[in-house]
Amino acid sequence: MNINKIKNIKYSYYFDEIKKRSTFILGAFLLIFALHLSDFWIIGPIFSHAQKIGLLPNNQGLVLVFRKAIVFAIFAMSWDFLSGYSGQVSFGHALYFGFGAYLIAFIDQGLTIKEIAFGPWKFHNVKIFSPSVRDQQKIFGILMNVNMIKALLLAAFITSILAVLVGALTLRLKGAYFALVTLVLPLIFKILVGSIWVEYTGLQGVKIGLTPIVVQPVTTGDTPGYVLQQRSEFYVFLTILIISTIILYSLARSRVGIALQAIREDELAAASSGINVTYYKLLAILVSSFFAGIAGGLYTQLLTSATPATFETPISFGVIIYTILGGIGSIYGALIGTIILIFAVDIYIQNAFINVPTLDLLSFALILILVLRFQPRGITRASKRIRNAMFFSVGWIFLMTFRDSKVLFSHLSNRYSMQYYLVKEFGKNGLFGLNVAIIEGRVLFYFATGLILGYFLPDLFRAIRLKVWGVWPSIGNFDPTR
Amino acid sequence: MQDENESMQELEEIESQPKIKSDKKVLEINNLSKSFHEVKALVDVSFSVNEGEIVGIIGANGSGKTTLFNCISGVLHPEKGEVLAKSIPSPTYSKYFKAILRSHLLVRKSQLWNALYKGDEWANIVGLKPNMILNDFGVARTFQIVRPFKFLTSIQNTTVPHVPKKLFSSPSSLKSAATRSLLEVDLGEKKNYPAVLLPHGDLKRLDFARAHAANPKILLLDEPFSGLSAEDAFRVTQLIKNANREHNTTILIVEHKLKLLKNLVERIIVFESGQIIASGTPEEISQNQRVIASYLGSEVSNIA
Repeated sequence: MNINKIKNIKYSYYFDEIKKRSTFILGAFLLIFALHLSDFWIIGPIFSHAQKIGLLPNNQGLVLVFRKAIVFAIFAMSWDFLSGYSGQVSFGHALYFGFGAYLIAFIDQGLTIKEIAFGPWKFHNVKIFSPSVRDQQKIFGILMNVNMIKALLLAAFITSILAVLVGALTLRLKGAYFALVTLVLPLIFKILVGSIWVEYTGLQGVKIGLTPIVVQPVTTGDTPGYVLQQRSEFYVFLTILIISTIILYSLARSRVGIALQAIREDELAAASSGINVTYYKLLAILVSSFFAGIAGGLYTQLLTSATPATFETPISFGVIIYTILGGIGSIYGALIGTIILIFAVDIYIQNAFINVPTLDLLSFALILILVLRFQPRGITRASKRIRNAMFFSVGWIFLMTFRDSKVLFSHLSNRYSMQYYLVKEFGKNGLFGLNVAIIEGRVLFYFATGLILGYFLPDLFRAIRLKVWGVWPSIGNFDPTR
Repeated sequence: MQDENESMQELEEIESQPKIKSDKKVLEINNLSKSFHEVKALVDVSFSVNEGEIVGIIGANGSGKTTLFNCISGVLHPEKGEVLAKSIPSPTYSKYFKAILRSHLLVRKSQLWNALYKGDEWANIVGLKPNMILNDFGVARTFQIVRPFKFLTSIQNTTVPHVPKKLFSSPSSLKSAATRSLLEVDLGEKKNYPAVLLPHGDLKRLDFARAHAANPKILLLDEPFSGLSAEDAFRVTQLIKNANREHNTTILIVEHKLKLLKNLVERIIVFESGQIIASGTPEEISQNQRVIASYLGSEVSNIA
């Protein structure tokens, strides 16, 4: 009797969970096949035309943006694991990023310290790392320096050990005091690495080119070798991103994640429930700094050198803004927030303003204020209406820019397009500094208008339906989520 | 209907059985003293608790009841005196780690390490961390003002105390253990509610569930009836009785009102300005002249 009952499962009950997973699968699919979207049915023509009119960058540009986005996505997820889950809000996560960036360079190129003075004792030519040997192997059709992957893991491992040593000092600090200490530590290391230690270690050597993970292939046909290299590097980075997302997300949802969240909510109550607070806090620092170290190592791969700039405050603050945009305390929020924001800033916002060359930080601040005011849980967990408005505005951008380039409604004259009026009225001086003469500026304008339109359209439709139909349309159609 | 009748009969049978009293001590407190600057919260407090006993601790505001609980559970460290408790036999993997630690540290002969290693041995638990006192000595506590993990759901709230004991077990067994301890306090329907949304009565029971989920030997309840309606207070009383009967848990209850403790506890200890002024059965306490004079006043006449 009971067995029959159990067998009769309604799978619609699990729809929410399946839907959530399908978002992940769809996202991974889009990232993996981002460069091949122009081959698909229906999406293909839209995608290739968007690339033609400059709405989306070409494949080479996409690779460059996504490589950077992937590095910072891993970094943002590691910050979220420490600050969003265990509640130790770190304002200096660039410390671990910089450790990873420098360590991979040391492991690759070797580190010999010319002179160490330790009290009365002096040591000369202390060899800490010897230069790594190049070992080229073909893995999944990509020719790679395998020792660089090992160097990446070793750098991340040493970073996490150093982070635990540093973190043990800050364990008893809470709130503002913890934030202040973490804010200052990377700045100290920036000065040490950038100027003071240079005399003793000869760190300048780090600034010469690093061994790349992916070996540059020979030029084939029209595509130059460095383009092919960047493309395969993108796939290697993507693999690392997917692996670290799976590890961090499953850790955050496991019993470790629950213990960390308990510590975040109430430390004393967690300790009284048998949770070893010290152990779990250090574990959070260890895991978080491991992935921050990996992100730092990959960043060094991008720049082909380690610079003191990796310890700087904008990197620590950028990661907080990415995570808050996506949604703090959920690993996928950090991932999606980073990819969206880096895509928006690098492609549209940087070019869209007249007379304002670097608008990153200002736009960051504006986005942060708007998100914290209207959607403190982040855009991935935004209310249904705002999420629909965002999807609408993306569609609105495509519609309007395609209208401007006369793909859609081509029988209409150019005089009736939005571009005509925008350029006529605001072409010279810009609209609030927005350069509407170029497509990047118009994309931002269309996004803002589409967001407002998409937010209020449901009200308009309801009002029209009320006029036409005569009763309130939602009668008999009760939706508890509204 | 039949099932209900049977279960009611079983309940009555359980309630009518005489309780087996044992003289086995589980907790002993000797000359415990604690002061905050010039205020002496506890002055040379000593008493002991037997296994399976329900002990009530009453006293006016600021008489040192909560400080006593804080000192026992490791939240505060007393200046003088000792709290002796029996360690529980630990699982093998933790025994292994402790053996390694023991061989490396210079604490080989200390009473504490002996107790931790062997299990079922007396040790002084003063100065230990709360999590160690709970996991190795089985002393759990609740708080006077409820402290739930606000943005966790109620099932996650009861999962937390199971985590250290089920570190390497399967996720399903962890989940079912958490669900069981939630069902014990009738919060099964609200298992996916975040704790911020729960009313105060539910939070009190959730707090009790969290303390009881760790399967403690001694349960310290800090004002479990504060701010509860008569109905909710009755539910909590039943929970306390069940925990004592079925799991043989020793329970210490701090409370202001003698009325609520009268039918629940076997022994009452009365505190006044950090000192024990009387102890005995509820009837003895309600007739004790010193207690009446110092604290109870008019309330005794209500009971009697």
